[in-house]
Formats: sequence, C-alpha cells, structure tokens
Amino acid sequence: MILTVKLFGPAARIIGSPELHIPESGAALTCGTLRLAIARHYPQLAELIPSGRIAVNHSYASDEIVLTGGEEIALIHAVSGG
Amino acid sequence: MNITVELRDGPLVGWSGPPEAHAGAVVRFEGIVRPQEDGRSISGLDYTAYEPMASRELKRLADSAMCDFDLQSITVLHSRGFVPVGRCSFILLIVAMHRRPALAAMDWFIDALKRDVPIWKHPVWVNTVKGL
Repeated sequence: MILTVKLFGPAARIIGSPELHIPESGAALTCGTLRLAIARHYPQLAELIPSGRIAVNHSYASDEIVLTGGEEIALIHAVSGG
Repeated sequence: MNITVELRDGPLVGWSGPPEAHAGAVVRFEGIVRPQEDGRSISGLDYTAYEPMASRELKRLADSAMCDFDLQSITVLHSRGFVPVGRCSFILLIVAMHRRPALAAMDWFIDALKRDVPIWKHPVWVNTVKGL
C-alpha cells in the first residue's frame, strides 16, 4: 500500500505537487515514523519536517497516533494566514 | 455562544458586524495586504486554505477564546484566493464586557491563528502573471 500525504504552501512548491506518496514498509506506521519516512523519501523536505505537523482527517495528530491507511493525511508546515 | 467563522473568496468588503447593545468593549482588527513582501513589490497575496480543517481550527480557537477570555461574541472572517494590495484579507471582531479581556483575546487569537490554522499566503509579484 502507498500512503498519500497532502502538501500545501512552501512544501508543495518545493516538491512541485500538492501531494507526495510514501510506500508502506509493512511495520505499523505512526505519525512520528511517517515524518521520518517523508524526510527519507523526500530529502528536499527534511528541513521542514521538524517544525511541520501531521494532520489526520483534518485534525492535528501527535507522533504516537497509528495510521491504518484509510485516513486523509496532510503535512502542515509554516501556516501564515491573517 | 455567539461565534461566526467564515472563509470568503477575495477581499473582505462591506462588513460592519452585529449591533452590540450590551458590550463594554468592541475591538475590531483588519488585516490589510501590504505593498511589499521581503522588500519586493507585490500586486497582492494569494491565500490557500486547507478545508474543512481551516474552518474547524478557526472555530476551535474561537471556542477557546470565548471561554478563556469571557467574551460576549467573536467574529472571524478570512479571505481565500487573491487579495490585492491595500485590500482587507482578515477581520476579527471581539466583543466583551470589559476592555482588558477583549484586547488580550485579540492578541492571543491572531498568534494562535498564525500557529494553527492551515491558511497560506503566497505573494504575487508585480509584473508577474498570477499563479507562476
């Protein structure tokens, strides 16, 4: 299975796409390990990962949350509204 | 609770808010698009929102502000899409019984918005075509 992660703002411009794809390794994936996987598969985003947050089904999720594969996942970085 | 949260396309115009017959303090903030970003001239800002999360986060923050600062009402309007220089992209109207909590809530809400609400602004440089 492949996880799709929505991107916005600077992250989307760096990748040149509104989403990225992470192949599942078979082990249980949490938001924390997903962040590491994004940095590994997309090193151009590595600098954004420490300050970025993962949203699952439109709510911020802590690193311990386990992903089952059916969620809508987004990488939220450096919001700037207002 | 008296909470209004809206994302609207383009500049925010002609909005005066509800009458406040019993308020001791009404504080209104308007965010205006500046003519420069990082020292370069822009024609405006293009706002992108991740919905419905952006509206949910605005509502969550409004709920917190209502309780934590003992407000009477809070109204949040934010633009999405293109807003030209000099036009309004954000309105926050806070009504409370007293001045101090109203001003404190205003400051807190804007900081929290910039931290938590998934809305991004992208400068549209002068002499460039929007979207490039």
